[in-house]
Amino acid sequence: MLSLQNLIAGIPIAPILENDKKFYPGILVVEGTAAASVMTPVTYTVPPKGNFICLAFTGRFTTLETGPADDETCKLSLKLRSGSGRVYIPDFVDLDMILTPGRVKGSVAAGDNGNQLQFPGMPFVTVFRGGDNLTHEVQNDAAIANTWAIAYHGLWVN
Amino acid sequence: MSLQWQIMTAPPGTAQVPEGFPSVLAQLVNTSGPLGTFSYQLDPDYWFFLDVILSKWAVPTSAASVPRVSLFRERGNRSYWDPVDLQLIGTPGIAFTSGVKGGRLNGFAQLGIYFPPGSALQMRITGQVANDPAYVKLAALGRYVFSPEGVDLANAG
Repeated sequence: MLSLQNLIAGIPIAPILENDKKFYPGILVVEGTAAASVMTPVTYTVPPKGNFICLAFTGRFTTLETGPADDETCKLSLKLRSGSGRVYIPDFVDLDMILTPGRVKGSVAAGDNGNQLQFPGMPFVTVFRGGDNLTHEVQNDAAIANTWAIAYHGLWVN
Repeated sequence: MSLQWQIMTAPPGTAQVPEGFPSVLAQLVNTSGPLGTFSYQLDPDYWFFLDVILSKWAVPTSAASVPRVSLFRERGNRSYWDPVDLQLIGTPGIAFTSGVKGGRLNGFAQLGIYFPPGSALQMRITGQVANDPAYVKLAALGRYVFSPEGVDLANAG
């Protein structure tokens, strides 16, 4: 049986505890519904409790088409910028290119099962400042709404 | 040690986050025909460090067909790769036509190639005649930085 000592072996506990008041892990979650055949912006305001060092992101999306049917082909694409002027994704990038596996099986149609999320996801090291806005412009090429979500993994810095 | 652990365990006042910011640059490369070029004019105010190539492609005739890509830097006419199957260097590498289910994750190509401000990142796509891809989408995940350490600015490019 694993002892506590086994579980924490190799983890530098002392410096983590020393830094705990300044750094601690966090996840920011942004989600939205992209209306049919248009671009739908979703703005997320970083909680103003400190700055967030983003390290990576993961995400999910649906692949519904008219019917609604799930043909498993990604219909959503994303642009991303911050309110402080950083343009992270200047062109529409298909969500299955940056959030794969990430596809969520539709509830109606016959499609393969959704894919498991992969951690740690896409490396994406940057600082989101508390109170700043992150604007997600999501284009949906399907004739029916699709949903999506992105989780930003990182550290809060106080 | 991951960057997260480096930050969480750094002596007080010494934790650092890499300069600059990440960016994903994307293009639809090829809608028909055997050849195509991804040519992206980079921001003139920053250096760009290319980390990851993301790709997906349609396979109209054969599940086995895979387009090949080669990577170039316009400045200095530097050629980085021989033509290589996208399956080998791209992720997620989805083939998404009917009957071919995508979603596999090949892992990231850790490229570490730098491009001077305002230069062009180019990738050339080659489809085999019998297995001509209907289209290819490519994206480049990298990092814009102001003044990269360790790069000889005078001689770069």
